[in-house]
Amino acid sequence: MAHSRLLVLLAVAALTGCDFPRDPEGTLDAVRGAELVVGVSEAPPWIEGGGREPQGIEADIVRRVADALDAEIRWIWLPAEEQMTRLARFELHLAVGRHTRDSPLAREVGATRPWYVSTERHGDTEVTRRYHVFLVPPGENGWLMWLEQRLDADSSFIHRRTRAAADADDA
Amino acid sequence: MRIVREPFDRPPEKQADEERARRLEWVSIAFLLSASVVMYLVMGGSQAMKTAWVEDVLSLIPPIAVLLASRAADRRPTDAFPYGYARSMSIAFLVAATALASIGLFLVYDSSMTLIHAEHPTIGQLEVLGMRVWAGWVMIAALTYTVVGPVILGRLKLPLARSLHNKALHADAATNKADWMTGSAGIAGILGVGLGWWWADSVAALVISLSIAHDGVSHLRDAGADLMDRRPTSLDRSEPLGIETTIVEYLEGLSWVEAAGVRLREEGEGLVGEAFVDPADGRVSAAQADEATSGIHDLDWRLYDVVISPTRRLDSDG
Repeated sequence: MAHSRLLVLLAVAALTGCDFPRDPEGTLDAVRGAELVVGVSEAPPWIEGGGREPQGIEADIVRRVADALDAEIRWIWLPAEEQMTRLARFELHLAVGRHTRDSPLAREVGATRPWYVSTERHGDTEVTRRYHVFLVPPGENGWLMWLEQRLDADSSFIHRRTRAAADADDA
Repeated sequence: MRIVREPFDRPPEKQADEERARRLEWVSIAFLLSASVVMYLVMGGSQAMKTAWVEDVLSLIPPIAVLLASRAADRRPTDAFPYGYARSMSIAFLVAATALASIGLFLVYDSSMTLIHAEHPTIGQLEVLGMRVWAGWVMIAALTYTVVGPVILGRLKLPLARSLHNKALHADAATNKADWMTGSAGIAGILGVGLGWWWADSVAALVISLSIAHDGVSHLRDAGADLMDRRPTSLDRSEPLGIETTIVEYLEGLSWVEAAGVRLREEGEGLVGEAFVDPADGRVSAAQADEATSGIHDLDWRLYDVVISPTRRLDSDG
């Protein structure tokens, strides 16, 4: 029994060191040093651009991701449903546009853990929480883990930008 | 005049086993509830985890059935139920088997669909104890936890089931022991997904659901056979028990018996039935019949309410 437990531990250590979990469709390897294809839809103030170079918090986060991967960004302006269809066909690497965890789209494809939680007040007592996520192709778990680790690394940047936006709103 | 059966009395050492078995069933229920909660929180988008969770919830049914039915079955026969309540165990077993079989078959369908639709399971990061790890490791840990308990409990229940000759308990224990297969399949599925094989998860789910369906269908067959008064068999139902021969030998050893024939059925742990005797000089007194009945009951602790029926037509078909 002791031997088999040791083997399991070694296997785990080996697996966490190397490429694990992997992408069935090889997304992370395809993006690294090459091109990051991003579906984007208009959702001010999170992301906006009217068909040209997008601006906003989400756009800035995506730019940092592309920098870390040494990749060029190809922005494709698409409505949300179309983003989902193309993600499911592995034609997009990432989709942004104020997507939330609870949206039905998030369930069809993959989603990162929430990178921001916004609260909306209705009247005196009701508060709605929105969990903001980025959408990714389904099952690309290596890519997803990399992105989520990137969001962790950029958490102070995200915090600064979202605080600034919230303060601007209150002002 | 109303005749109501004598209550079935378990020998004292069997009663101790019965109480121990009931305690283990309570422990099983508590453990399975905790396992169901853990699995629900952790299962995420994995079909194998979802199937294993359903199996954990379904595993609650046999111990609940055993506990409810054993209380009911021990009730003394009444005027309304002169044969007693022993059948309640078989009914509980039938209900449990139906639930297992139908849900198992549905899961086979569900898992096949995820395979056919080529659904890639998305398994990302999870925060646990302040660390961010791949959710797959957490799922594997949860599967290990939910499997270790039943395997141990199954091992403890099996000898008790043999001693009590309780088929429902035996089926429950056998299912528990086989849980290691569910755990292994689930873990293999998640590791496969980690290695990039998206189908590993659906295949693991299919394997688990086939095993649930198989258990359900085979329990269904056995529960049905019990309710149809099949002759007594060994605990795993592979062989006839052969107690009828023992009884015939005893009866034919009595001086006043020319020939004898016996048929029996199982009612819970008790064996009941009819013993047909052809008396040597064509008649039998009530005292002889009562004595023979006691003698039969003394042959085995399970023999209970075997009725002596004198007849001259033992060898004929008419």
